[in-house]
Order: sequence, then C-alpha cells, then structure tokens
Amino acid sequence: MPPPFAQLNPHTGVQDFASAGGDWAVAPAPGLLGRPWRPAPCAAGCRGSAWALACASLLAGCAGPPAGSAGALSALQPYVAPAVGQPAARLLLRAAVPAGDRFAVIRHQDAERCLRPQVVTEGGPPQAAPVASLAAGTLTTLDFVVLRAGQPGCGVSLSFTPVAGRSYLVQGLVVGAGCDAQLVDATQPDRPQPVADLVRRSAAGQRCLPLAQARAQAQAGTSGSAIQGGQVNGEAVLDPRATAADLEGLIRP
Amino acid sequence: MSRFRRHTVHVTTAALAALVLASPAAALTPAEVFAQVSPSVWRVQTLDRDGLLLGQGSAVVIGPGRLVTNCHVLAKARRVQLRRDGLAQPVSARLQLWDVQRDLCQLDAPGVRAPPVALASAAQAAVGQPAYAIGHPRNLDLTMSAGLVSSFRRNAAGQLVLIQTSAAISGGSSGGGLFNEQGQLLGLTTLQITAGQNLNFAIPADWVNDLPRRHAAALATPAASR
Repeated sequence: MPPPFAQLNPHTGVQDFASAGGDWAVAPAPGLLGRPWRPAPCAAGCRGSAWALACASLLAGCAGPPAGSAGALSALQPYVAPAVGQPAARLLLRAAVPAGDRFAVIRHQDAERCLRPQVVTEGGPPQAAPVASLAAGTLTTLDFVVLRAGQPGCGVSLSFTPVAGRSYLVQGLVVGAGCDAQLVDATQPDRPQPVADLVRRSAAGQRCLPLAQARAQAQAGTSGSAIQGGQVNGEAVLDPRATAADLEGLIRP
Repeated sequence: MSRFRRHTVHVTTAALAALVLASPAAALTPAEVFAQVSPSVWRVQTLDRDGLLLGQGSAVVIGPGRLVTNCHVLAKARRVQLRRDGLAQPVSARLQLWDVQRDLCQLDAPGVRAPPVALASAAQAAVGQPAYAIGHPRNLDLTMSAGLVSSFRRNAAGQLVLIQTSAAISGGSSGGGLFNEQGQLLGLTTLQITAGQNLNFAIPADWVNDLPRRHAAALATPAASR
C-alpha cells in the first residue's frame, strides 16, 4: 500500500514538489498557463466536452453572466470506474483554488477527440477530492477543470496511458484568470516522477490539440526539466532532445 | 648518534608520507585557488554573420589551446572569440568538438596561452565541500564566488547529471569553472533556478573526458547529433 501523502502542504493542499524533486515547483511556467474559458468556444461546438461545463452550468457561457457552477459537474455522465480485478491505476487530485471554487478531473471517453466527459473526482476547499481509479493500458485524456463562482472556468487537458498499479497525481492551481495543471507519477509519493508519455492537449486558443500535434510539441521540448536530465544509449545526458542545429553556423561556417 | 639521526629522519619521512597518503591534497585558500586557476578561465564572445556581438559566456582551458564551454553559449553564432582583461585583441576560436546533449563543447584556440586546469572526478566530491565558481558573469571579468557542493542531481537511472552548488552564478557564467579546494575543475557552471536562492548547477568535469568519444559517436550517427 502506498504511503500516505503526508508531505502535502497543509495550507494549500498541494504537494511541495519544489522541496521534493527540485524542479517541480507548483508555480507554472507563464507560457503554460491554461487559458480561461470563454463563452465563444461553447457556441463553436464544445458540446459534449468538458469545456461545455461552463455552458451547461449557466446557459453556458454562451449567454448571460456566469453563475455558480457546482451543478455543472452533476450534469455530466457518471464516471464508471474499472471493475474490480481489471488493470487499474490510482488517480489523486490536489488543487489550490480560491474559496468558493470547485475543481475536478474529467475523463473523456473519447480520449483522442476529447469528447464525452465524465467526472472522475472533484473537490473544493476545504473538501478533498476522493481517490479515483483509472483503467490502465489505454490512452486516457483527463481535464483538470476549475469551476469558479461568478467567473469563467478554466481547464487543462492532459493525455497519457496509465500503467496498472501506479498512482498518478493531478496537481492544479488557479493563476489569475487561468489555471494550470501537471500530472506526475506519484507511486512513490516522496519521489514524484514525470509521466513518460504525457502530452498536454490544451494550448493557446485550442482545448484539444490533435494527439500527433501535441506529441510533436512535447518532443520539441516544451516540457521537461533540465535538472532531471536523461539517458541516451545508457549514458547520462542533460537534455536528450538537444540537437546541434544551433551550432550549424560554427560547424559549417 | 648518526644512526639515531638517520632513524629519526626515516621515521619522520614515513610519518609525513603516511600523512600525505591518508589525507587529501592540502586545501588552498580561496585566494590561492583564484591565483592558480583564474588564468585558465576566459570570456567567450559569440558573433553573428555581421560580426555583431551575439552573446557572452565563459570557458576553461583544459589543454594547450583547448577550452571547454557550454554549447548553449555558442548557439546561433557564426564566429567565436575569447577575451581576457588586459588583452588588447581577442583570440579567435573554432568549435572543435560538441556534445549538445550534455551541453559541452570544446573550442580550439591556438592563440590562448594559459595553463590547463586539472580535472576532478565528481566521484571524489562530497556534498558540503567548498566550491568556487569563476567566470565572467554580466561582463564582470573573472568574478569568483564561493559556496558549497550542495547536492548531486541524477537522472532516473541514478547517473550523475549535475553538480548543484550554492556558489553564485549569473548570465555569462555559463561555461565557467566550478573548482574544488585544490583548484581542480569539478564542473562547468551551466544553469540556475532563478525562482529560488543559490540553486546553481554545473555539468560534471568527468564529461570532458568523454567528449572526444561521444563527439565521434554522434558524428557517426548524424541524426542523433544534428
């Protein structure tokens, strides 16, 4: 049985990766901040997606002022956890959001296209989100969403393939009008590890990047940490993705 | 009498030898470290196609006319030159070896006349030992800062990737030296976490020895290196 999350910051409910791992500070990189939900996407066809939460809650962002959005989650289909005995992974959720806001993780039944959302787990200060279970071995797209009283919500979409028996932590927070989230393998709670195949599906102006595009961006080095380094052909390296492209002017002057 | 004297000399010699063997090389003062190694730390300037200054960093002499620096110091450059205070003209340098995945590049600069530094193995280093960074941060030639070896950062396989130090570094320090108390090169100061305090990192000097082999291997598999 995994050890408890005793190292969680009691004030924020967020694990302090800065002290545990050295480079997983909670504060997100500015370029990675989730964009706030706007009414426009609802009219543009977000039906059936998590982004429709805003719509569902308040005539959906599409008209009228935003209102309290807690009811939006119950409007979604119920989540069906994998049956006992099926390969599964644990999902934990921690978030730092203002009082009155709600946060949740939503799983898309159509992981490729981010469609048909189900609420996997939810919480809000001071209520912790219950631990949930995810089917292992299949591509999974999760949205970390924040439903904000009187304001547009925000969300971050992440895709990965859970591995049976492992524990994953979604860690989210609100920053200004947006929010951010990261997903780590927290099977060893005191040594969170990056998730190898994790890709961020949401980007500026897009809530569900095509998988190939999201993977290409991940390959391009938009995520990861220099402090953690890597390994290529059995040898330690600082950045496995580095190329000599920037040295071409010296290699072939 | 003379036998006694000879015996005393032998005992004294043996004791000294034992002492030398039992303890590491004598620690130098920071001033002595600086005096010993600072002639081997040079300022790197990169220039664009029009000869305009593109960026600056630091480099450390590891052999006759051979210096190592971080590859990111050389990014986008078309020419490289080396400078030192008191030297009227810059010394031209050429990229000789590169290992971009380790951010380690070697420059060939026959015009550089400076003693090479000795390399220290990180395996002999310990958290808590003194560490001195010498480089050219923010155009401030040959700035020395003192700190400790704060930690060793390893990849998922447990291999050393970075030496963490509390010795202060700044922009322009990249490629400079992190030295131990004997004036041996522990690593090249490479990056810092600006969100914290005194969270600075150096790639290990052990990687310098691997550079020729890894450079050749990368050239043999161009897709991996280019």
